[in-house]
Amino acid sequence: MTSHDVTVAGYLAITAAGFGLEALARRGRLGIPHISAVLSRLMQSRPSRVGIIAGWAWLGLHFFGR
Amino acid sequence: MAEPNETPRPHPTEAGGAAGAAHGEPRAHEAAGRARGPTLAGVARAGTHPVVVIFLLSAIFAWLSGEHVQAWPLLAVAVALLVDLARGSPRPSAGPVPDRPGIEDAAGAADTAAVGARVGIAPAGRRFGRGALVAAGILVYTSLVGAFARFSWPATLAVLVPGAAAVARAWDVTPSRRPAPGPLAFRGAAAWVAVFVAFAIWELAALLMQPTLTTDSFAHPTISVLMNPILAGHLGRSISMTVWLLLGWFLVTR
Repeated sequence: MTSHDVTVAGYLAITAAGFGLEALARRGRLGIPHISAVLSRLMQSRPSRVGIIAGWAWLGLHFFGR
Repeated sequence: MAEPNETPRPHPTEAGGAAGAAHGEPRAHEAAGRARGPTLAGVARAGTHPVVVIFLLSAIFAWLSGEHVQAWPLLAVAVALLVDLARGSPRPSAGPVPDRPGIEDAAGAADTAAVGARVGIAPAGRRFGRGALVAAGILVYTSLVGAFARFSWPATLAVLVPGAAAVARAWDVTPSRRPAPGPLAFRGAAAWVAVFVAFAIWELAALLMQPTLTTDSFAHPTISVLMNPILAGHLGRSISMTVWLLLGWFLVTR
């Protein structure tokens, strides 16, 4: 297994973990909240709300713009 | 967020207030509050806010990576938040402060529609129509914008415009008019934090294992490197931008 494979596997594992948490949340298991609930809670304050939205905007700039 | 009849919380630059602001607690009072110039102590306190620190570091990293166009908006957000936190400005309202009815009350499902109407939540049918319109608009937009060459100025502007609009809306709007979410269980919240932190660390590790910050590495690819083949063509860019805009819509409507 090359370094490339390990790196990609790491990304996939973390993504799968995220989907797994959301699946647990939908089943009401282990007290895991939905990601939407986590985000709603976080975005109650201006710094967090602006930070999350600005982070999203930066992602677009990073992938598509200069 | 305070109910209309509650005593307003202390001004954020008073004792405990800045700590509250630094930990993301919402301010209570509306525009009737005083807006003061930032003090040195306020700036120092605001400078330790996690979001400000993250954006400042991101701006520095972006600059060092040669991504100067990205560095400036990151720095602008950091400075704007720094000044806002230092001034302890009251959060402006985009409309009347909604009350927070407990829809879990014993009134039952029949009252949910009345509750929804009271806090300004559109009926399901209207929400679906608006959502379909937004999705259609996004598809048309990304179909056109996907034709722009990657990293070109038209593509940059096509991202900057919706991005800036979303940030401006996030700055001014009150929290979602849905009833405020209750406190999250520590274990559940910690699980989500762990996932995001793990992703950030993995990405950072890949970035730091590159030969230089500006040289891609096949052995240690970042997400950008992995996305390059997908974003090389019009269809890939359109689909990716659609996903990006839909994510933005999801966030803006929280």
